[in-house]
Amino acid sequence: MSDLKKTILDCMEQVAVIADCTLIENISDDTVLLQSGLDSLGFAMLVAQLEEELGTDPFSEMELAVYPRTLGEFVTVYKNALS
Amino acid sequence: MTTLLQQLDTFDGAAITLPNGDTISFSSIVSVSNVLREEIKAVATKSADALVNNSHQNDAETKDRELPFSSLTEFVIGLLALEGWVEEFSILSDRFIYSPPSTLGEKSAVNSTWFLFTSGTTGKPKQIAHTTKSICASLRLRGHSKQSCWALTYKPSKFAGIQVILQSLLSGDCLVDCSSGSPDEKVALLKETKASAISATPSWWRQLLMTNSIDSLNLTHITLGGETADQHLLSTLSTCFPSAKIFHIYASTEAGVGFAVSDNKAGFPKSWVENGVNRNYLRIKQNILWIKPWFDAARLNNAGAIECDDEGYINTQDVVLVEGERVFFKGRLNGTINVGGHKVFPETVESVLLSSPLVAQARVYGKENKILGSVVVADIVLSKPPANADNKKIKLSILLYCKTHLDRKDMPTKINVVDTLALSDSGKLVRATS
Repeated sequence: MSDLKKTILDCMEQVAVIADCTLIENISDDTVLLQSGLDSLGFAMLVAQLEEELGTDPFSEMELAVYPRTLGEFVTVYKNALS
Repeated sequence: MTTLLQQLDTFDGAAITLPNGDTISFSSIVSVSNVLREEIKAVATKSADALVNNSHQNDAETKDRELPFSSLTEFVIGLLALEGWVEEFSILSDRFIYSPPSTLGEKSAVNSTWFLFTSGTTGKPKQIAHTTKSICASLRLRGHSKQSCWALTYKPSKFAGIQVILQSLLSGDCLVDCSSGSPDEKVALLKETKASAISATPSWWRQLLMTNSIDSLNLTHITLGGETADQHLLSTLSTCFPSAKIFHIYASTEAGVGFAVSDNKAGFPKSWVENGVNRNYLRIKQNILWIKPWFDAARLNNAGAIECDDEGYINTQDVVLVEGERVFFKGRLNGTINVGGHKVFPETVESVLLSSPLVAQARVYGKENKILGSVVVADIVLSKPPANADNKKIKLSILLYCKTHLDRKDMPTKINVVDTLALSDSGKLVRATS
């Protein structure tokens, strides 16, 4: 597992606690984000936490709104933003 | 009727202490104000004569006149010269604007109408009319006691500033201008001038509490106003200054002073909604507090300047929550953050953050978000950051603390630790949305 993906999964777990959500087990690249257990508020918190960890918020910096559907796509957005 | 200037005639001693320690006596203030009155009269007489003798009178000579001020002393002298002498005057941030007196030659005082401007915290500043009586109604005058030195923390031109200035002057107390400078400079000035009474916003008090030498102050009178006073702050002040009387005041430029709460508890008694308080009447409609002041604010002002109902109750735009026998403030109606359709009151979130021992100051605001419209963000100043503090861990523990006190959608999505929070000219937190 890449460091980036591990950071994102760790943050998801932390946000789940703060945002009072329960994550599903065995989250993989193909997991549909909105079925991961985090709701829209949870994702807003996740993006804020990741900005803290990674120093970037690709969603506020993107001119076009891109909504990644799966965890794999979500990780790719961050990977591209950091490259 | 007696003008404010006449009321100071018998006082002696210092009326104002300057930052350099020099003082200005009541007698100097009275005599300079009287000279200024004569000058205003002379200019007005000259203009009136010119009007009679010259039909091509320049319009500029009959227009409203300006009286600038750049210090507390100049403000006080200007105010005393105009009040009871001209029929109308407006108070701007750096000058008075007045109509030339029309009762030249008459000795009796006039009932001046004052025009003040609201701070415009959450909207455009509005011009609001008052009379000397409505301005002075809530002052607690004790005669010439010379027991207090009042610190002015508000701009002199604002309603709250005028209250402090008149409270001090009309009691024969001394006034010191503490409206500028860093918190440490303010404490040094308060200490040097032996200030014993301070009226300030909760945000101002929080900044002061973060300085190291606040214990050296000997305060007997503490007033909070302009923002909601939370329980944590009231309790902290009460512990720091056990012999001080603590009031939190509910007032607005439109309705004047509504009431003062003195039981060291946040909110106010529900019985005041049922029975009225301080000659004012209160009403809660759809969770919004409406107040009917004892004076006819609606009649004093132009139609539309103040939003009031048929019975004269003014819409305060403050949202309240009744819990048992107490009424608590939730926040400003037009200051909410829209999180996916849910309205979040920044003041409510701030109040929870401030109740955490880790947080000394907090500012909550909305940040644009593509999914939810807005999300809640908090800037905080830490109480006493330990050396090598891990901000990540601190933020996490504050978020977990918030979770136990807030609804999900009220939760901050992000917390930024900052060194200071900016206050506006009126001493309130600056509430700009980023």
